[in-house]
Amino acid sequence: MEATRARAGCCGGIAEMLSYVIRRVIALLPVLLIVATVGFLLIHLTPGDPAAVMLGPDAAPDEVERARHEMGLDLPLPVQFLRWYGRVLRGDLGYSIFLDRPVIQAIVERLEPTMLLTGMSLAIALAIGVPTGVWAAVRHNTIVDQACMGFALAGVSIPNFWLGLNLILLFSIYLGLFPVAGYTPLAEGVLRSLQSLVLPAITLGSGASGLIARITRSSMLEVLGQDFVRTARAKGLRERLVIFHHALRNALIPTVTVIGLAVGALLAGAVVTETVFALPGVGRLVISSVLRRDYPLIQGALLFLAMIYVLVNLAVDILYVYLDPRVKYV
Amino acid sequence: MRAVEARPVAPVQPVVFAVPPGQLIWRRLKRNRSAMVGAITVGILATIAVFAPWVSPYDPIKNDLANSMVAPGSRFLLGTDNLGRDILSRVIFGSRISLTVGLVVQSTAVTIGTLLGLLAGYYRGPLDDGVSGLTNIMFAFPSFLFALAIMAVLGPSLYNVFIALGVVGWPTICRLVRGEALSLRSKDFVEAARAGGASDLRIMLRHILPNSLGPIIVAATLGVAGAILAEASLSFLGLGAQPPAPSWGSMLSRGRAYIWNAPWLTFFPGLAIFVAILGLNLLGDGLRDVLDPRLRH
Repeated sequence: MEATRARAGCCGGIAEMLSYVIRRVIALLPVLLIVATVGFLLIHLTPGDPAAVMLGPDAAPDEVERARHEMGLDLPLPVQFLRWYGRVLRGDLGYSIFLDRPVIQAIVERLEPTMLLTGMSLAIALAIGVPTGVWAAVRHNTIVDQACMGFALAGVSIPNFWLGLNLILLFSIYLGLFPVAGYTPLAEGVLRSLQSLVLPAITLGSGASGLIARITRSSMLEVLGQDFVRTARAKGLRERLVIFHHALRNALIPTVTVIGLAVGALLAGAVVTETVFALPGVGRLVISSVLRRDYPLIQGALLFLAMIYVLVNLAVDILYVYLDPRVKYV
Repeated sequence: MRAVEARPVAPVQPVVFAVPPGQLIWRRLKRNRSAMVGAITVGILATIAVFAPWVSPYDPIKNDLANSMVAPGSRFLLGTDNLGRDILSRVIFGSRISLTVGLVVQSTAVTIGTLLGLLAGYYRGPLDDGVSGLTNIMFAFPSFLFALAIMAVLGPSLYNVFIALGVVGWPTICRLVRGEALSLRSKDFVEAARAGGASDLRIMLRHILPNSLGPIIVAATLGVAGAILAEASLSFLGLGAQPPAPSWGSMLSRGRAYIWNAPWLTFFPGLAIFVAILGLNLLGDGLRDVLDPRLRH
């Protein structure tokens, strides 16, 4: 009977769930507005004339004037501000003079490697992090625990560009198992594409796997100390069943919340990892635009990545409420 | 009639610790093996950084083209780079850049974060709404990307790295201190201080701040590690320290081109970053075990 009630609490509230999702999406609007404002301010906080800075010291005055006009910098500030909002709402993130194409197009063209890389890294991080954390918790205070946590700490501490270079050295240069760098698009074969991302994904996922292992271990330890686990053991269930069926399902809830955080770190880490492995993704686009001072592109890419980050965290929050019936839809 | 003798008010008994709290923490820290490993690593690094000119065998900046790309050996322990500069000397001097970045950035972050967090958590109301709103905006961006955007505006230089990382660093501390202040402000000992006529400023500085010091120290230690990694990453991307400064990150960035035939150019600076961050993380974790009993595991 207890079980039926719990089930009703979990799935009976589809309407409740839906209204929660809608409320959360509406609550997202001010955040996106602020993100857009920060993106706008970015250009206007630049010391000096952004158009002149962007084109460099050799640019002719009329070229600078034309760039100013194209970027709308010759308009009064409030007009620029409103125009910026209007454009962002329509999904128009501006025009990159350097790449000679709309910012959004430049981003979309580079999206495939970044999304695949981030996804693969997260998968690797979970595949390594969760079992490591569980194993450490089950063997609490033993050499296994210490080894697992040492491994996790190393994962959190290792600079991913250094790990990447070492992996290239070992697997590509000495052993010749993987391509040194570069990306094979999905269109040229899924398998080859994934193969070109194996080393980058391990590189990028190492930090997140350490983080996930540590969170999983501590929440697993907490759950293993609870009464219902003792009850499960007392009624003679096999240890395997207790750990995987009873404890793990509850212990994974904090792990889910950390995924949102991890995706932020992965998106930021993609900038570095794509540079190490010469992957033509959004991260490298960001870096080259920063080095060239291509302001519309920096603005657009920052906005785009922040939006992904915010949306992933929203998805995680919703998943969290779904997984943990104790959490109310507030 | 006997004059009512003013009954002496019982003097407030100072809390007597069997052992002063500082010593107690030190004792517990000493028993924590990983914390000690971390502390010793960080201590060695700091010593090397302070005495860099005396311990480094060669000039870290001066080119010596006759000795370029020498493999690690007895004369150049960690080899030389493409301009003939001794890698060991550059790694030694690089510790100065990394530790300075870590300390300056975290001092800025801790100062701003603690100040705003205390005010927001203690006074609540509109001030809190403002501060919390601001921190939430900052958390809407992955912080490294935000630092990258600031670097784009300010232009590449080590000095601008301080600013960018300081700006993105404070919200973490602020959120932490705000939470502490919020929960401490209604505790009995704070009420007692208020009843005794202590000013808001005194309550914040003498009662709330010392009691939230533990979590702040832990977060700041881990934050130093984060700042060092972020500086190394920015320098690796060409946005931080500019040549010929021997920043670990830019050494890796320049050495990449030679990874085929001279991997020592990238291996040792990277190892230095790894060791520094590992040491700080070990120390931070150990401090957390000792200072923050809620998070024991």
